[in-house]
Amino acid sequence: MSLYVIGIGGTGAKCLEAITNLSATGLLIKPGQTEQTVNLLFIDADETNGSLERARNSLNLYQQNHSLLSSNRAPVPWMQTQIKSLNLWSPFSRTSTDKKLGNFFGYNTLKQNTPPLGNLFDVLFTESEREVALDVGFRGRPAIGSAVMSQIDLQRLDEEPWRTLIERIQGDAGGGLAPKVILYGSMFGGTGASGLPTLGRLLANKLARTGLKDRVKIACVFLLPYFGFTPPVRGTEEVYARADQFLLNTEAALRYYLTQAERVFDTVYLLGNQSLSQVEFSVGKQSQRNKPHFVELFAALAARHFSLNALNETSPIFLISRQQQGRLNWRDLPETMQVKEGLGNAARFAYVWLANIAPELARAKSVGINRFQREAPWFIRFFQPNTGTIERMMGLGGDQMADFNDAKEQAAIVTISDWCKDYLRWLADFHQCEGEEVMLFKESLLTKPTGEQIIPDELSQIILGMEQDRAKQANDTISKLRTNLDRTPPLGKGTIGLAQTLYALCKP
Amino acid sequence: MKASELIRIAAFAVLGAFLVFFLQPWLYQNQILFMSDQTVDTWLTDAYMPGAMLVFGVAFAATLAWYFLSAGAKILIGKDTSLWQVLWWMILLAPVLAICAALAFFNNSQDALLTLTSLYIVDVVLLFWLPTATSSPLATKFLPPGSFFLRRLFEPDG
Repeated sequence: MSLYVIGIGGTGAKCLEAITNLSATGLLIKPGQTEQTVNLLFIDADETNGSLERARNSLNLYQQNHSLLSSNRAPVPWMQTQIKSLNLWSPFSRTSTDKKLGNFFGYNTLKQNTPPLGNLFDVLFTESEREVALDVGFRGRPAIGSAVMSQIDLQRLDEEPWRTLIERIQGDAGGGLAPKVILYGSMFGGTGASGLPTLGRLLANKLARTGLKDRVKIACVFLLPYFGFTPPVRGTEEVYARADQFLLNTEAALRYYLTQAERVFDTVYLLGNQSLSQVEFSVGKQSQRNKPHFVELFAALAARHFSLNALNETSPIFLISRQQQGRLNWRDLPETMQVKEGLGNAARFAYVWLANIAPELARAKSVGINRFQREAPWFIRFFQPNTGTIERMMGLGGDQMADFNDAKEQAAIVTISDWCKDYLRWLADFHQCEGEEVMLFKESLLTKPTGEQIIPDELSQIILGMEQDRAKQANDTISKLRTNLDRTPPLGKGTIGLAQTLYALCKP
Repeated sequence: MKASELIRIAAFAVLGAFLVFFLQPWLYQNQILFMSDQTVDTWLTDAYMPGAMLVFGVAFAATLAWYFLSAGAKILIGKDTSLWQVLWWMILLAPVLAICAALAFFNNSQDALLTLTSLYIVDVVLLFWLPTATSSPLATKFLPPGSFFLRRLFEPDG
């Protein structure tokens, strides 16, 4: 099965960040399934958007780690999904001049050569909207975005990444992989609100024309308002997104979908939040870097639901809500046990790796293997021990093990550590939603590991709401994990084997 | 705690007991280890046995103390093991002091002094060093001297 995920705008990018992290935990793959491919495509006119940049960084870290781990297939859910990036597409990718709406449609030429069209343009868009720079996105104006987005011509397929996207979908459909496509975007902003309906319709039309519509399911996840911001007091910007218009934009968009987009999507997910988390106002670019929100976790879980279930017209309508307003706990998430286990396993692993194992490996480098292997007996189960001549003659040299001082092993430690930091950062960020009490993990522990050793041992406290009896809690420690590392048959050699074995042991 | 570790400790204890209570007295009784300043049988009963029982008891107790103390070791970072290493050497003091006491308070034969000292050292090696070097719990298994080599000889796969 292959999944194609298109994230439109800043909110779409944040949803793709959530999907990347969910993929790492194995939650996008069916139990027992060994291979799955997810293709990610970012769509944004604002190529330097902060949220987009962060999502692409997470994706990059994921791909580095997946590439590392794929050299040793181990029976752990970690990084089993291959994520292929279709990179970023901007509607202005072919525009070399100023990214303005007027330039995009050749307004001056229209006014001169075809005055009625020029006048129609004046009716539809104000002068400010015509002249404003759109390299920061569509500034919360779906009308501007839709006009630009509608210029994509999927029939010609002369532009990447659309050509590759369609070819891959066709290939997967032909190969019996039952590809599914899911689009993400906000309904209340600019890029997402304009891109989602337009791109969804164009894609559905293309698949229908190529006879694939019946074999390719398309879903969309509409993000309803879940954050807001205070507009600038006074500035040079006249055209910008207005948080006070979000609900109005959403209402209009929902009516549009009801009347105009009925046959486009096979499955529709609508997600939002009653209270709006306040973020800092930004027109766009790097400063538009809104922290992850738990609504995006729900959005990613929608992808899980869509990809792992066969849904059709007779499928029931699901309603989901929280038990208590202003609070989020595990029971509020769909498939609570599986999601808790998936996210929790990865969080525990990342914590232990950063808080203990990575600093220990750094210590091994500084004090030398000869001393360290006596302090940490688990070490020689993954790396070549430092032995004398007699031991080597007796076959105890461990020649088949990985060389700890090899540059590849040292690089692997850094790669895994970087992913762990990013994953814990993502979890910690959505625990800090303003006005919300997120009770999935103990937030203070998520932000604690920085690569230095952490004492005391608080592993059992990471996942909130874990019902453990005293005996089990007393055994749920990093010390015990270290002992189990020495006791459990390794899942592989070297840094990779160590990480995979540790991941398996960190299962809650 | 692994069953194999406890079995090894028991095996060394049995071997040690055989050595201390049967083989070593036999060596003196059959003049393989020569002594002439005391009556052998009397010396064995009045001097050797009490001293040997003291050395055996203290060495075996030291092994058990090390094993059960280190079984509860919660080693969070590698550096923590240095404390346990110091503890091992401190526990070793007990059998060493037992040897000294056995020689000082029980032995009354000058002829047997050197041989008896040597035998007691072998006893402590068999009753304390070998069991701890081959059978310490996982977290401390490589701390006793020589354990890194011996342990991997007994359990090449850990």
